[in-house]
Amino acid sequence: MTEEKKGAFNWPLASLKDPITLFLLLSSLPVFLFACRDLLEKNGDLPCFAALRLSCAQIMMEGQKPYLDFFEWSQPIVFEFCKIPYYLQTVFGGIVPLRIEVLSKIIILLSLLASMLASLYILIKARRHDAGNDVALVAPPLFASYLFFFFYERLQLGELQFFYFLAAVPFALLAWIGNTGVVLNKFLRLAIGLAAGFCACLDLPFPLGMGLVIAWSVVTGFKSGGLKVLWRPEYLGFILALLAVGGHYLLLPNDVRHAYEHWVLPIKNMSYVTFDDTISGPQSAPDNSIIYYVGGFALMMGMAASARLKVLVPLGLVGLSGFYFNLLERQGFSRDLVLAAGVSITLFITAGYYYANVFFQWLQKIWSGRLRHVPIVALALFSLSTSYALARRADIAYGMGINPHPKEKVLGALDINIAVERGSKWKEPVSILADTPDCAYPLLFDLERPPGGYLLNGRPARLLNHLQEIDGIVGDWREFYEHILANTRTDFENKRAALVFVHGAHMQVFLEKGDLLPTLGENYDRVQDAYFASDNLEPREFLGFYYAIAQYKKRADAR
Amino acid sequence: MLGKIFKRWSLICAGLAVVVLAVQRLVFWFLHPLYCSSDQSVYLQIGELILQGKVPYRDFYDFNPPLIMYLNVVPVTVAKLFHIPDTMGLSLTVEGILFAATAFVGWLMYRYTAYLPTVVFLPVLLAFVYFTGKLDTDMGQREHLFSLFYFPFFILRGIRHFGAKPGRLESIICGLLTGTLLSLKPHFFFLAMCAELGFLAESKNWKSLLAPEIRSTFVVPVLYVVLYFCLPKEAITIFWEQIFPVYQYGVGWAAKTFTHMISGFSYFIEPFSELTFALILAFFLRPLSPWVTPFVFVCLAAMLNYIQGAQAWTYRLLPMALFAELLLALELGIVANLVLNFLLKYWQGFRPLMATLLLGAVGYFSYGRVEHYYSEIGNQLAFDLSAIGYHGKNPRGDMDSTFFSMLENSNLGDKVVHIGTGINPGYPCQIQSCRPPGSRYLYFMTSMIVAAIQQKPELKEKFRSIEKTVIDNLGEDILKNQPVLVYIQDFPVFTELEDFHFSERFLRRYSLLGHVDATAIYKLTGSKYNFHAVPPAKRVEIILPVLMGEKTISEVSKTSRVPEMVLKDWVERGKKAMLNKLTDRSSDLEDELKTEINHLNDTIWAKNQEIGKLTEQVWKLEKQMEKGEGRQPEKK
Repeated sequence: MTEEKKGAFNWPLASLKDPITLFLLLSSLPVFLFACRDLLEKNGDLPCFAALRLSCAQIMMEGQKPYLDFFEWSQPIVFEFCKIPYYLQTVFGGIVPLRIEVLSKIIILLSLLASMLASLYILIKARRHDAGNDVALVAPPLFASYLFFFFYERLQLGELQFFYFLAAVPFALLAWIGNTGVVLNKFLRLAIGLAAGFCACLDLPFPLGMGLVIAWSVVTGFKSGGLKVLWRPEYLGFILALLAVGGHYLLLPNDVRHAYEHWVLPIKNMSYVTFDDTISGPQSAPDNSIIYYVGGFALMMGMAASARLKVLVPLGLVGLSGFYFNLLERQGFSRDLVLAAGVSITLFITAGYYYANVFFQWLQKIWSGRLRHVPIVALALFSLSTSYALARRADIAYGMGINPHPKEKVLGALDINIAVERGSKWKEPVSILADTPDCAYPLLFDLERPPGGYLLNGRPARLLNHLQEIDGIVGDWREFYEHILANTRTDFENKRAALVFVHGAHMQVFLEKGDLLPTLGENYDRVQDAYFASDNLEPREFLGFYYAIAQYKKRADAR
Repeated sequence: MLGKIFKRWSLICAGLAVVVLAVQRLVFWFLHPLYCSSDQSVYLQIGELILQGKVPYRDFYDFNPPLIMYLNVVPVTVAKLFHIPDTMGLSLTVEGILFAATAFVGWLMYRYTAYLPTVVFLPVLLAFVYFTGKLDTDMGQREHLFSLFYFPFFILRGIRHFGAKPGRLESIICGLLTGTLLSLKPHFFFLAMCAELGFLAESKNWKSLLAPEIRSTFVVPVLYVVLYFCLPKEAITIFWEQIFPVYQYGVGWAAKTFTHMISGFSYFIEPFSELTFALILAFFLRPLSPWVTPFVFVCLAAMLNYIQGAQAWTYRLLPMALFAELLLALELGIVANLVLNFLLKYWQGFRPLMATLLLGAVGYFSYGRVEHYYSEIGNQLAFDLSAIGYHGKNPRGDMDSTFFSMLENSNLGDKVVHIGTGINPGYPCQIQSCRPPGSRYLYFMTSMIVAAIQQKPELKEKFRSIEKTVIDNLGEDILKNQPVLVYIQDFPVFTELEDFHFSERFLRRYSLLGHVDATAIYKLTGSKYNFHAVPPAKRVEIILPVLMGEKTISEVSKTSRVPEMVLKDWVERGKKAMLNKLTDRSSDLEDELKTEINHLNDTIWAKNQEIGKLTEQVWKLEKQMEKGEGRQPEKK
């Protein structure tokens, strides 16, 4: 074995002698183990859309077609990824019987671990190169950021933006390291590029963040290598992922592709440009201004520190794209800000750590004490205490999700958790028609109530109502509108769902205009109203007014 | 030689482009002399009151610290100097400030070209001018004024940080002016502080923090605090015991959720999108110019200020919107500079060519804007300013119905009181119609008090006591000043006031005239009178003897039982109407429209008559059929 190969073989062991690596392991490992325990121990805390997509994947595996047999506007590839836990259950179910939720959480944790290890590998390799000094300033806060991110977004684990963040961090590190001449494992680079490419395809605006990272890499590497930068394994992996997603799309049945192009894309675009007019006064949308506060300061610090720490540039670009995603969604849900929050935390802590080092170096010059390790010790203490505080915060929020007790209550109405549990049996389909699926999922997923209607995501109702008012429903819109009405009518006539919930004025108007209320009335009895008890905080966020949800129970067939 | 000519030509074109862009907006303000938003119009009114010797808080009520009130003396003075409406005084003063700020920055660019490369900063200067050119309702707001003064200071600070040595006099003047505007709101200091940090991050020039402009910046705030305590004790007491607590806990009465604040309307989402885009570019372009970081710091600080305000008010967004656009312009300038430097390697003539093209583009744009200003008012009826003692016209569409109701029911200089939840529509209507306030309360705050009680229930008694005090004060003002008109918003203000038996206690001498903009109008009639009891034709009969000089008003009042004040008003209006109708002229558009309305009314009346006849016929037929049916069994 040559010396070089020996070195490469022994690098993890050799790295343990490095104080930074030791710090990372000592501080991150226990917290990571705590995170694993916390996540696997608790039940029913998957975020809304993760649970909804898993439910969709399940019914797709039973033969239903997305957009045609049920409506949820996720990208087709997202449903494919959501099938993975079901495949794992099929393969390993005989050996280790685990619920889909647990399997999903294991995947989430493995993704987190993979992202952390990939980042660690890149940083350790980079430390041996010229960028060594910068790495010493980046590595500890970066790992602390992973932990903060985990605990801050504890109730959004499994959201698309969560995976996006995990893929973006090593991808950004590669963009930074790429121009310094550090030699890294090609397969790992390819894998990181693939992960970034797949994550960029998870939602319509998602290519922006990763695209900016690539653009920055090209701009900074242009002088040295021109467009050759794009031949790096990570970018080839990225392109490969895009091709794979494109290929998957082309293999979809024609009718599914038709529905995607003519229904899903237009309605999604319309959602980006149509503001929900029920979002007005305080509490009518979740207040996540804290992320803007942190983000504002983080971007200032990141911009200033990026003169020295170039890695903050690609990270900042990803963060800004995260803020843009939130602007585009125009809702303010926590799930829309996961990426922005993750990057803001990372920038804030990394730049803060850098300036703390600068300050203590300056202090050391005028006061001859041993202050070199003060920032890293302070960061360790800060990491542990803040992780604990954030874990407590997540605990309280989790409790509110399971047993909500908001300040304001709707008199004479049941919380929807209780209404569904009492009014339906295990495996009995339930339909919750609402503008956003937050009051339906993860509830139906946790209680194992399969979808009982076409509109799993009720956003088209509000948008089509709006369209009807301004332009009238014609062309593709008409086709989609009639498809929704026909499916929903059939569901009502066949009494597919044991319970039907109708939430909010938008949905009520939609059913009224579509002449569906009489059909609903013929087959279902209106029973006690329910409501989505919440202070509009995670994990129970909503838009608009705090109104009751009309509950309909399947009418027994005449004998 | 040729190079010098090219350079000079380029400079002339660039300068002209800035001037043309700035001046075009004046056309708008000359076409809309009465255009003003509610907040600014209240400040103008306060400026008027201060010039009459009144003291803030004691003699009139407002929630702002006193500086903005005293600053508004300037536009009022300008208006008096040129005999133009106060509203136009404001717009011209603000335009004047814009010209001065632009000229100062232009001069700095000329003088310190090494620090402010022309190609990089010309788009910034154009964007600065363009921004004010877009404003209408927020023109002259505190944030706008602050931005206008702060931008030159920011540029001055930049060149100082990066090594230039600007003159002492201009630095001190600039510092004093900026210090004045910084004192308007405490969080403006935060923005300035962030800008300094941004500069320091790039320059590391700590010594520049002791520059004359910085030292002079602190003079005004210190002076302001000292002068504040020179206010009469009564005024200070009212500020701290009534105004401050109500504002502190009641300002949330119109609060919006955070999502609404950033993306509720296009005028929120556009600045935020611009900011995001500018910041993205900033990460790419930061290595090319040391100015990028300070601009980023200011943008983000302004964003934090807006979010902290927790209100979806567009003027609060102005500094962020302006600096986001300036950052975008700077980025454009950096890229343009790169491109131009590349092109100049091949031919020096590219510089004048680009400058000429820029002038052409700005000229064309400005021409389009001016044409748009004229076409906008082309089809609108104009209001003649002679009715309020000025020359010129203003489109009627700029004014609310309340404005016209004030004109119709009171005379120039008559006092008016408007009580509603917000400032609008009382203001700007009162300042537009030149009707001075009849109470110390230029607008009312009962909704804020209700919100304050909800926010801080433990202070309920205190807020109730404030509520009682202000309502009593308002009533006493009405009794004392006898305003000709009192407007009371139908809901919720009327209901809230009635809890204190307001109309019974203070409006005995007023009669309900009608409603406008969801507000009841009470007119001073001396005693209660039902206006609807006497139709116009009857009114003519009543006042005819007075007009003919056969009887006096009091004689007619006794016989007709119409209060003298009402009769006096009818007589005056009757005289005006006769004069108006007996003036030689052909018809005007307003008359034509009135004729058309009359004609349509006649048509409706005729159609209604037809409907009546047809209904009668149907009724008769039904009766006949009923009778016919009734007889049938008999036949059987």
